[in-house]
Amino acid sequence: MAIIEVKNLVKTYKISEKQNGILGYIKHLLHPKYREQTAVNNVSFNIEEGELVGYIGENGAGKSTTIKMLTGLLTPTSGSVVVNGLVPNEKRIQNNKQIGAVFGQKTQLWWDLPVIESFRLIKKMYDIPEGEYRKNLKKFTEILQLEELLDKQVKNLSLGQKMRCEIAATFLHNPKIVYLDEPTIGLDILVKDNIRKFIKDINKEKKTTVILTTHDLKDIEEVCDRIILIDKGSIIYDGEKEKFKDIYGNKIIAEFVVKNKTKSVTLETQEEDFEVIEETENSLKIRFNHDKLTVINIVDSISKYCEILDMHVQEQGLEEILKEIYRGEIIRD
Amino acid sequence: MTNVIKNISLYLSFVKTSMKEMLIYRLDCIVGMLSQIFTELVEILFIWIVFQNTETLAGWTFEHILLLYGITLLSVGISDFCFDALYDIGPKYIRRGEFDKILLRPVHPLISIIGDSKEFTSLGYFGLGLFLVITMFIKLAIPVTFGLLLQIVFFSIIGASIIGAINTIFSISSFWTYRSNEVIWSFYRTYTFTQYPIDIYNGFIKLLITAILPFAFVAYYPTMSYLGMNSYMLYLSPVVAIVLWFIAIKVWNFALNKYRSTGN
Amino acid sequence: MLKSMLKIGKMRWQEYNIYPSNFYLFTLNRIVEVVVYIFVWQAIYNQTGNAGGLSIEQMVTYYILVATLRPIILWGCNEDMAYSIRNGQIHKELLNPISYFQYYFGMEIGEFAFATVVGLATFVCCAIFWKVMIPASILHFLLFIFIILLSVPITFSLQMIVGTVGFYSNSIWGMQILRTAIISIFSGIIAPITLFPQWFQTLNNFLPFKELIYTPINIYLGQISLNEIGIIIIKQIIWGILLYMLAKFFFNHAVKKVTINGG
Repeated sequence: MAIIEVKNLVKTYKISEKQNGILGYIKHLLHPKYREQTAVNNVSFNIEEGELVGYIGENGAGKSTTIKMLTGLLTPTSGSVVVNGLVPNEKRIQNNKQIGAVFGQKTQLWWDLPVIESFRLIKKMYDIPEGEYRKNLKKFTEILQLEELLDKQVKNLSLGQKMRCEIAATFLHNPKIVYLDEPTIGLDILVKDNIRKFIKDINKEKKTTVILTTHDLKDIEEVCDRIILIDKGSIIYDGEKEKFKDIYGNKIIAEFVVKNKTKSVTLETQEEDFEVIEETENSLKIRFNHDKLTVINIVDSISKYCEILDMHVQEQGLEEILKEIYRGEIIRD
Repeated sequence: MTNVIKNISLYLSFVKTSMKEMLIYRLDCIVGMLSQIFTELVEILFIWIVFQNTETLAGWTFEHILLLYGITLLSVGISDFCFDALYDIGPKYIRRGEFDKILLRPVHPLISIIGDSKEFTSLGYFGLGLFLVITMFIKLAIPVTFGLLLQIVFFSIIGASIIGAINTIFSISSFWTYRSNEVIWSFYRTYTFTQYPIDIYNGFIKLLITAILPFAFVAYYPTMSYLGMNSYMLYLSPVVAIVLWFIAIKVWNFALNKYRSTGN
Repeated sequence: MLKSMLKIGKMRWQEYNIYPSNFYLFTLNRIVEVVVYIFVWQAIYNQTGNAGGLSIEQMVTYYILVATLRPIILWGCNEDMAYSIRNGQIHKELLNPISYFQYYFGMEIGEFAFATVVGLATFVCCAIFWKVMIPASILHFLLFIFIILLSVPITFSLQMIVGTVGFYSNSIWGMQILRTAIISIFSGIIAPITLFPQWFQTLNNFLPFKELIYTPINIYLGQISLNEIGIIIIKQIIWGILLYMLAKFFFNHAVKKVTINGG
């Protein structure tokens, strides 16, 4: 059975249309006008225990709204969310015991107190057994390098230090599911690497299910096995990360500078496994799947029709793929 | 002299920008104003209850005390409006690191900060003060001559500047603690002592409010004069104000230099 | 759960004590607040030989106990709550494995502890300058403490109600001052209730505020019979439950609004 089951989830916000000026304000009080906006539109997915899922999409695509519904902070307009047998927005406190969450820069650490005090509070609130708490604290301190931070006041920590402590706090009670909303935003590369390694380690050891939303696709590349891509409130891809690259990407774009072209390459190579995107008198732009062909194959093919002077090869990364998807340049097969 | 004029004009331009910002918070501001008036009304209720038990308090009648209360509120209203940002030096400017930005401006930081003041809610104090002053003058049948009016305007401003100077002196605590607002407030609050005839107090408090934190010069001595109680102490008010500002600026500059050289 | 709340209370206490200056300043402020009242009544007593129907010792003791109890009754975490609502911190607090009310009740415990210490320090300082009467009897003193403890649910609920306003308005400052003003007038902070007009006293009998300040002080002074105290205790328990339910209802209503239409 899946640990998270989401079925036909819809969230519609009522947005009040305010008018300007005092007159408009009074009008609004008497006759409030609302506009409906669908943030999440009929989303369904199942997540199995121990999965590392990257939940990605542009700003305003509906990521945060989905996460808030999964954690029970928002009530769905329709559809259902079941997390480990619980409906989060009905049994919020019970659900809270089995989850952990990081929301960007918002912290659960007490600003004026040493970090360790907040950890101790978490231990009490989640009823973490002494042994388990010690074991986790020791392990987390090691991986996240918290040794010198624990006795410092939170307000004296840097952004990266704070986030490392926050991550540790989130995993302290061995949550079954962890939601990480932009955990690496604004951090430097070393801290990012550190946090990614931590998430992978804990997932491997404790089979913690992790749902990660991020703008930094390196997070996804390095941490996640599965991608759910949401756009304008609907899921447009759900599956393995590698497969995602196969379908949308893992493609290479090769640009050639040529001369003495004899025939139209586009027409001559129609049967072949690659695609000519652009052709002029002395240039060619070709896209091909890296799994099936190599640059040598392409060179072989086109050199029959022209003389190659120069070439430039570039790989399509996750980021470029997503950019193209958002721009509508790639439409799923 | 040109230096002073330049500083004053800079100050005015800061106030203008602050006012624009403040208009955005109109509603909050009205709520704040009403609630401040409400708090003062609670105090006035106390005075009313007191006068249910007596005709006079150290020779002052209910109306006399309310006039004193009103005159005090005029100065308090003006000073809260003009010097409110002093409270923010610790919790806002220094804590959030905005103070360094202020140090980079080509003006004395104190002027920058005071210019950022925009406590519109203090207009509530001012309004209530005005109301009390007008009704009490009518009730007491004191003829309001042009001279008296001029005196009230002049001494209210002097009173506000006395409060401002005292707050400026204590605002140097910002350089050592973020919670400076509470330090300032602790000392500022003693102005409430002077809303009653000082004859009711013991020697220590009399000394405190006339010499150490000379709030008595804000409204008490001027009001005595308005009521014809033969007090010439009010003519000392401007002197007190000038001396206090002299001390305030010296102390502030000293603290600022210390802060600059050691950091926080 | 109780352990978590005590831990939260302890942390709140620690927060206050990070700045030792807090303690001195707060105590100083409490004393300054009460000085005027005491001197005014002393002046009246010197003029008329009477201070509002009480002896001057009683009146002075009354106001010193007001200064002692004032922080206990008025301090709380409604501003923290409003702040957490405003900056979205509430999302994290709603994901705690204990309820939001329990979390803030924990804070209230810390507030109560710190306020008590400040109150006691104020009492001791005042006792140096003025003659303070001792409690009417040990029993009266214990009942005085008991009534104060019973006021905790009432003040906590009022805190939560004001804090919840943060869901609807950017600033709870106005509400905060309104709460302080109402409590100041009706609880007897500004003057003993018997000095107010009759209609006010009648009205006040139907409200819970008198039991926060005026009643416990009068028990301390031995002015209330034991029978009456029994009724007062029942009344206070009923008010505590009612206000708590109201606070909870209001809060749940506000949270529902947020969970249905976003933060």
